[in-house]
Amino acid sequence: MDEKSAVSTSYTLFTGCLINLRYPHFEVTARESANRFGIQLQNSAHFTCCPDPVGMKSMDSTLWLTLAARNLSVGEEKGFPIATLCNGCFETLNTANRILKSDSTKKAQVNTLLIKSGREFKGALEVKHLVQILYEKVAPDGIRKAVQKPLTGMVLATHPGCHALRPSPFVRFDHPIEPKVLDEMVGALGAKVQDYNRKMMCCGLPIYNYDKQVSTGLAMAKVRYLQGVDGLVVTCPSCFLQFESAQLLAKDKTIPPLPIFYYFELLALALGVDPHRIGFAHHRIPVDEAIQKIQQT
Amino acid sequence: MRLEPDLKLKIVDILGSREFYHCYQCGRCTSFCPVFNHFPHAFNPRKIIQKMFIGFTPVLQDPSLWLCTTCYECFEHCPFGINLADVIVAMRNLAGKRYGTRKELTAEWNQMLSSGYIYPETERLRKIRSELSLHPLAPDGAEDLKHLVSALQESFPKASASPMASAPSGAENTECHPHG
Repeated sequence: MDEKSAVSTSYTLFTGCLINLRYPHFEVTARESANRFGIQLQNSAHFTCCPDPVGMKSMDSTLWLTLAARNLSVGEEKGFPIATLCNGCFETLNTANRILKSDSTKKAQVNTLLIKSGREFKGALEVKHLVQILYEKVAPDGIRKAVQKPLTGMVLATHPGCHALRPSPFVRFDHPIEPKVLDEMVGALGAKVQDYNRKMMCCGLPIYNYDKQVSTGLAMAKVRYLQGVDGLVVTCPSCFLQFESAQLLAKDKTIPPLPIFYYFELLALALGVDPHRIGFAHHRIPVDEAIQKIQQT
Repeated sequence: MRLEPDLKLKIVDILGSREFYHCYQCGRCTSFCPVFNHFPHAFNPRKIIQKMFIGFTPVLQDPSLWLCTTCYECFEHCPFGINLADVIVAMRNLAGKRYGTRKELTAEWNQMLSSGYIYPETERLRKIRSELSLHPLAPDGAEDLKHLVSALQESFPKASASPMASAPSGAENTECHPHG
C-alpha cells in the first residue's frame, strides 16, 4: 500500500453498471456502512462501465484497456483512490491500472488515444474494493466493536468471487486460493461462518450468454452443496445476480432456496441501519426466514 | 486440411507476450477449471491451447472457446504461471476480427455507447433511485465516451462493432487457410 492511500479516508466511489442500474440499494448500504467508519465516498458523474472484464475484453482487449484507462483518468482528476463495490469493476480497474503502470508501451499507446479526447492516464492512484478498504483500515476487530445488532444465530457461507482474488499479481485482495478476508469480515458481524469445499467455484455468470445450461449449472452445483446454511454472502453484484437467477431458472424444484446476501446489506443490518433502507424486499430469493434466525440480544 | 502454423504468433501479437510458449500441455489448468470439472464435454482448456499451438484454425470458431468464465484458476495453478484465460481472451479477439464480433458483444457495446453502461435504465429503476434519494444517472460519462470513440475511429478506420476491430470480410479469409 502506498503512503497516500494509507492516510486517505476519502475515495471516489465507482458504483459500476449493475449496482447503478439493478441494485441501487447496494450503494445505499455501502454508503451507510462507510459513513459509520468515517470513510468519505465522493461521486464522479464521468465514470462509465468499467468496462466489463469478460465481454468487452473478449471483444477487443485494447479497447477494454483504453476504456478502463479513461475511467482511471477520471479518478485521477478527482484525486482520491477509487473504491469499487463490484468484483468485476475491481478486476478491470486494478488490472488495467497495473498493466499501464508497468508497461510504458501500452501506456503510450492508450494515451495517444485518450489525449485526443482531452484525457490522460498518469498512473497516480490505487483501486480497492470497499470490503478491502474496511478490512485494512477498520479491520474485523473494529467492525466487531461497531456492530450494534450482531447476526448471532445466522450460519453463513461466503463466495469471495473469482475477480476479487485472481489474477493475483494484479488484484491483490486476498490469497488467490485460500482466501480469508470475507470470512473474517462476515464473522465480525456475529454470524457463524461455515467453510465448504466448493468455496472456490466460479458463479458461472460470464458464460451465461453462450451456454445457459453450463452457466447456471455451475451456480447450482454450489447452491446444491450449500444446503443447511442460512445464506451465501457475496461482494459482487454479478455473482449475486447469477446465484439468484440460477435458482429461479433451475428445473429441479426440490433444492431448497438459498438466500444470497451482498456483504454491505449484512454490515448495514448489523450496524443498525433501518432494514427498509437495505432493500431486502427486492431480493428474488426471499431472505425473511434467514434474518429471523438472528437471536435478539 | 491445411494448418496455420503461425496462429500462435498472431496470439502473441495481441497479448504482447510470448509467455504461453512455456506450456507443455501438463493439463493442470484443466484439472482446476470449474467448467471442465462440471461439464468436461463442453470445455477443455488444454485442448484449446493445444489446437492453437499446432495452428488448427477451426478452434477459433469452436463454440467452446466462449465457455471460459475467466475465473483465472488455470493461471494460479499453472506450474509456469501462464495466464491461459488471457490466451483464450486473445483467441476470442482474433476470432472476432476474422469472423465478426458476436451479436451478444455488439449489443453490449451499443448499450455502452448509448448510455455509458452495459445495462439499460428502466422506469422502475429511476423510481427506486429517487425513493432512495440517489443521484440520477448522469449522461456525462457517455458523452465523454463519445469523444473518445470518435478519436478511436480516426485511428482505426475499419470500424465494425468494436472501433478497433476490422470488419469481417471475404478478404480477411486470405489469411485463414481453408479447412474441411
